[in-house]
Amino acid sequence: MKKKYALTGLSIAVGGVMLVTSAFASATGSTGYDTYKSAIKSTLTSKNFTENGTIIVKDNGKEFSNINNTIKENTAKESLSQNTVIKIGGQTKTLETYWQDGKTVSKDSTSNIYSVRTINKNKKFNGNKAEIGKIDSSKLNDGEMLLDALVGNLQNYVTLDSKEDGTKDVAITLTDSQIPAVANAAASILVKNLANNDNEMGREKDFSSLKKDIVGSIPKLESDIRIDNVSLKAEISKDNYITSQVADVSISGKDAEGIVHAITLDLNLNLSQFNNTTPDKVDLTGKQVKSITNKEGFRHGNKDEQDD
Amino acid sequence: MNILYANVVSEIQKLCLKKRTLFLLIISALIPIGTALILSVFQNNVGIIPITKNQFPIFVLSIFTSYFLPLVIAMVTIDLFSGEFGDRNIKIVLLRPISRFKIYTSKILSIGIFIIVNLAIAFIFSCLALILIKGNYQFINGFLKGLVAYGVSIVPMIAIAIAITFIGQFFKSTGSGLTISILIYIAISIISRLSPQFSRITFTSYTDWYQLWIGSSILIGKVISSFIIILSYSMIFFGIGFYLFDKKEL
Repeated sequence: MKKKYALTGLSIAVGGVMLVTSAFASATGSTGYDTYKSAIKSTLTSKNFTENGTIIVKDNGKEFSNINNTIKENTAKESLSQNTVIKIGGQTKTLETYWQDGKTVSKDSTSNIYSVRTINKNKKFNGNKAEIGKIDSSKLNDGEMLLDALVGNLQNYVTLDSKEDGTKDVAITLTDSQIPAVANAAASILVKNLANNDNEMGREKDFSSLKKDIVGSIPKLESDIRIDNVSLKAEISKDNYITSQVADVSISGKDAEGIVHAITLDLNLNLSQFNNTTPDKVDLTGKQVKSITNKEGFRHGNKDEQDD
Repeated sequence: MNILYANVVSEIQKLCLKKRTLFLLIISALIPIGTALILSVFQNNVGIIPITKNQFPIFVLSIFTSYFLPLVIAMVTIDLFSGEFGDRNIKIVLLRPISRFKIYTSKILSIGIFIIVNLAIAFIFSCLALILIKGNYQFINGFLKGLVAYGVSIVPMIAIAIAITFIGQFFKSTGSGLTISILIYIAISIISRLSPQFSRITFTSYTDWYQLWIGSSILIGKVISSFIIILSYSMIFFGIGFYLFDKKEL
């Protein structure tokens, strides 16, 4: 009789010790997911940095488009400079954008005219990192709750590698059935619609044409669309800023002729010069300048949105 | 050991004689087929493949481990414990020359076998339902990964069964025991969704731990830490559950 209870007691005790130990380990040691999240937060709220990003889209291994974008940003001083080089099927186009003295200035390589627009205080740059830089931390916390719920158990797959010099590597790779079916379905529908409605993208002239160029370069997928692989890798500096972010997404599907396409999207983002970035300025004296108001800007950029 | 074996056999016989058990197993077979039918409609009409042929059995498994099996396990487990106390059938078992520890263990073992049979049926029928889905089915990426995923899912499912035997000790009727089990499961799931810290230390968040086994590489560290959490909960619930069962009077 006593032996029986000794055994049960032992089972409860050993189980309890094991549970407390592992619970303690998971509570004190931060997980890859938490580390990643806190680094993203501090990077997003950072008001001053230089960002260099490359997006390469390949179709069946052949490079379709290559976009290189450098942003120097100082949100506190409301200034920003951006230089974009877009290569699509052998054609190269560059686009310069400045945000200086309460105006936006933009110019692409096809003309010598600088378009100057006074910034409407309520409607800042659209589709630009400058907006994200403005997000305050209370909004981030709300977003975090939502993200946690959406990510759910996927956060278990984020691996963390803490280096001796204080930097950290986080990575997550999701293949096949690790990608939740609902997310895969939603993303696939998005890809399908993206290919079909490319003229409805974007609002501002520069970005709408940019997006149009990117989207236009992707083969239009009609059937059997799915996301095969998603992988993210980030390097986090000692100051808890993301210094490098690599993202790879593979999408496969068939076009209208039934040809199978494997599209890969590689994003490579490097962030540097935190709190030490001075955006470039363009000197407009002696240059051809065209002033446009916001309203005209919309119409010029997107004919479909007149009744918007 | 022979007594234990004999009682496992008799518990399984009891399970098999219930119409409900057969009904639940038939539903287990129908879920993969129904899912495959819905999926083939998606494939043909919408043009997207949320789930490939290789992943289909694992997708079916996710339905089983997160919703269907916990419910089925609760029904069967509560029936074998609360149910037998409720209708006094437990007397017949207790009168046999067998210790209460062996009765308790054999009941859990027979539920374990029921879980294995259920998962086997789900795997076999989801493989059969593949005929309805277009695409390629590969041996390693499809069949082997599926087999591993179904195999390792036995562990968290048995842990759920042990936790429910613990809850079952507090009730003498099937209805209330089942209702409370389901409510607790839903409550834990909701809290886990809202708080990642909480979810890491509850074993019900590991019902999809097969995902750790089937990625491009097996995350050994995560597999071990998940297993330790599942095991420690099982040991605690088994210990307390047995204590309550042993002290229980008719």
